[in-house]
Amino acid sequence: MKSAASRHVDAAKPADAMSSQKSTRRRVAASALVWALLLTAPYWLPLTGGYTDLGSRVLVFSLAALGLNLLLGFTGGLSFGHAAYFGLGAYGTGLMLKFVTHSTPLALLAGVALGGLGATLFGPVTVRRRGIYFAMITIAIGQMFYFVAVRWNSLTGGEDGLTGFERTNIHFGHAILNLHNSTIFYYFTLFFFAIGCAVVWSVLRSPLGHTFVAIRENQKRLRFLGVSVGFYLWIAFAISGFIAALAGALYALLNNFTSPEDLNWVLSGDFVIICVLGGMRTFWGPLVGSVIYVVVQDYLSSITVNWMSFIGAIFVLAVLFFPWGLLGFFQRRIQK
Amino acid sequence: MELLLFNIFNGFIIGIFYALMALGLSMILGLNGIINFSHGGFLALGAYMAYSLAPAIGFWGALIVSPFLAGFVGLIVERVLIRPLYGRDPLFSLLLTFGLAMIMQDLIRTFWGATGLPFEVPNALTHPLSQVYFFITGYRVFLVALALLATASLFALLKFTRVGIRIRAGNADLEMVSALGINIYRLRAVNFSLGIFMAGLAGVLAAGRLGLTPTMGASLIMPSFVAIIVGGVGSLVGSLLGGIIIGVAAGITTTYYPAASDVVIYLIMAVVLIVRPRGLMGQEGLLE
Amino acid sequence: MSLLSLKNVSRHFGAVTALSGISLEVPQGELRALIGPNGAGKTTLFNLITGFFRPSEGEVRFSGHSVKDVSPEKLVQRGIIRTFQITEIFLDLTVYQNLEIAVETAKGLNLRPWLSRRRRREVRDSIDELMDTLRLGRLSNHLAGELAHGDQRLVEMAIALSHEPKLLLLDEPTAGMGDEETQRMTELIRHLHNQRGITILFIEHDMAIIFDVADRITVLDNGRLLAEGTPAEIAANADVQAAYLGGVK
Repeated sequence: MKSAASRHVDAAKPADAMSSQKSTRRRVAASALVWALLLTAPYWLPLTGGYTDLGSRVLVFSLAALGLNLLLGFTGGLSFGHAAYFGLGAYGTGLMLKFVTHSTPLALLAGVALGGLGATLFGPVTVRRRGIYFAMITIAIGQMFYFVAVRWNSLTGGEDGLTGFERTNIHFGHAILNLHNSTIFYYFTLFFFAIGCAVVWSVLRSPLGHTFVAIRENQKRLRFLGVSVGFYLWIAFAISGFIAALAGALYALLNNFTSPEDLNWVLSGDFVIICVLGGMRTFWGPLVGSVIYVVVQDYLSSITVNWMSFIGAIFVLAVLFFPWGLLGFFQRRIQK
Repeated sequence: MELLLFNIFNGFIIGIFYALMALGLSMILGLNGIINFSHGGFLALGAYMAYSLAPAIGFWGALIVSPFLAGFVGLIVERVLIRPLYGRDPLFSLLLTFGLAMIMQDLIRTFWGATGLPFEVPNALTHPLSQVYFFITGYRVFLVALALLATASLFALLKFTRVGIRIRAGNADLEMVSALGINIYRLRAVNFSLGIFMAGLAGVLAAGRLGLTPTMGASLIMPSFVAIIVGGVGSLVGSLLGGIIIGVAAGITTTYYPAASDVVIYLIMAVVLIVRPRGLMGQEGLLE
Repeated sequence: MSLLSLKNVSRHFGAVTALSGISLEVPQGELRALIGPNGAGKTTLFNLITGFFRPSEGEVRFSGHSVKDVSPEKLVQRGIIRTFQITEIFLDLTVYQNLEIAVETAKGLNLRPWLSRRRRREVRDSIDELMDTLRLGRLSNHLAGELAHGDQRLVEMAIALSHEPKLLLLDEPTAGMGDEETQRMTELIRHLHNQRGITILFIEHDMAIIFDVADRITVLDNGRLLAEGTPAEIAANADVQAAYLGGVK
């Protein structure tokens, strides 16, 4: 019996190792392709009828969704309120530029801090419940920030949004980073997008990330391994909040404007559908979803006043026919 | 003092809308396991249908027919869109009803226009009942009475009719109910459309008070969520209570610090979650 | 000294009494079987020992300390590890990933957003060791959910062992297994007891296994302690014969 088992081992191992090597190679190739496309986007975007700021917008939404997906896709935390931390990031940056300093990096930092700490602070309230309840609480807390922004007229400009600030160039000694230039701002955004990717990527490969995935897979088992699930859910919530805040801060810089809509639950829903469209369980899903969603939205709103119905239909159809997203779909095809 | 009373009464009325919404949402959440983002859309639909029906069948006719129509639309939506979601990750029902809410709002805007419309209520209902407390109009008293009547009927239905008893049993233990050979799909369909009926009714009542806009339901959905969380998931009485509490709290805040009136309900929610995570009347372990 | 000791422990659920007046001593290094008909309160007893439920009355002590008000998470860290009647593993992950999570958790690394090369090797070595002990190597890259039932049980055992338990609670470890799988599991339990000296408390229905491996047997019936003794004593006990063995066989 023993020898049969060991023969089985010998026969099975090389095949497994080969297939895992193959899939690693495929993954590396896919990532290289993604980065090549992103790095050259300002050059090929105009050829496809796009424009550079649209590229920056895609990156911003990807970054926000990437942060959300760490919680949603990998930890299984159903946050429907991530626009709150995105919006706090945007307001933090806008307010800093308007009232305190003309330094873009400092403003960016302020936005990230405001949104990230917001998520860190309110995380413990949300992680008290799981499942649907968790979703409802995240939405409601998000909505609280929305109303604060709407009502605190003197500071935020209320419903009209916050205006009167502008991103400024960054000086490195004699060199100047001219952020007023759309192309340069795109690369500026890409730089932070890359940082976000690096953070999520390394977290997912670490014990922390393994713990997150374990929470998604089986909370009971994890609990009986001595792990307090709520605590780690909170950490996932905080990290993803910081990344969403970074995206929001960049968004404020991109538009030189921010409004309560950047905090609204409708935007939270957008982030979630972006993750789902691309593939929640995949690393590049948020980017793919963002490309689809932002471009389609941009296009629809330019051709029809009923674009909301079409966007709504995307939600409905995606859920009914395409729940694992584009990348999830391909991944399953390859595995079969 | 009068201002405070006025705002409390106002808050109470708004609280009733929250409560009617939350009641339907809570029923659907319990038995169907779905957070219905499109609930506000159904509320608006009920209101707009009443608006179109009123010239033909009058206010009273519309008040009765419109909620039933809304419930009927709910029945169809349940069959076509909601049923495939049972037993799946709650994420998907959230997304689908979210999309549905967008579609409904957009369609309403397309059919009836984006600008607000007035909704006439019978003259008999518009007079103030008291000289001093001018804000107690006949319509508002009527509204409170009707909401109470509807809620009482709903509870009676759940308590005394066969389908009601089954709905409550299904809420408590779904497996048990299906083990007893009860058609769980039909039960869920009835339950869903009953919840939508309540939203439709709230819609007609809201139209009479504030007029119609395509977003009239969307602005009520969030407070209704809060009402459910405050009251406790799984408890219909809790949802009712939660709605009234946050409505009145918002009313009181309006008196002293108007800017915070929207925010205060979320603060109440946060406090409830910290002090009593399962809500005022919630049971442990539901839907988790 | 007893590793685990229960003094007069009861647990009620509303009007239902699941356990009443249970006193139990399990000394260090013992292999103790827990038997009794369905509904006797065996799994409830596990839930009390692991801190999942609190006793309504009485006290549970582990290595001399009361476990009152200690969370299940903390009890795991003190060395009480359990498996479940229905296998609890990470079904959508590979066997390797299952063990990776278990080992990292056991080493207290959960919070680390990165690992040094040395640490990573330590983790890998521990995983390999577990794989060897349980002969799971050949299944390393398979999804746990796609394994045969018996292999899933082994994965669960590996997860439990990764934490180097002082007290291992096994809830029907051989339930639903074929003959060969059962034999493998029995050997494993004996190995853990003899070679590693782990104190084990296990719920089991298969009398052959119980009489084969157990040092002592505790019999529960209807929430009460019916008898306790060596396999020979239990086999000869008239009460047990009447209430349990007679009823089943």
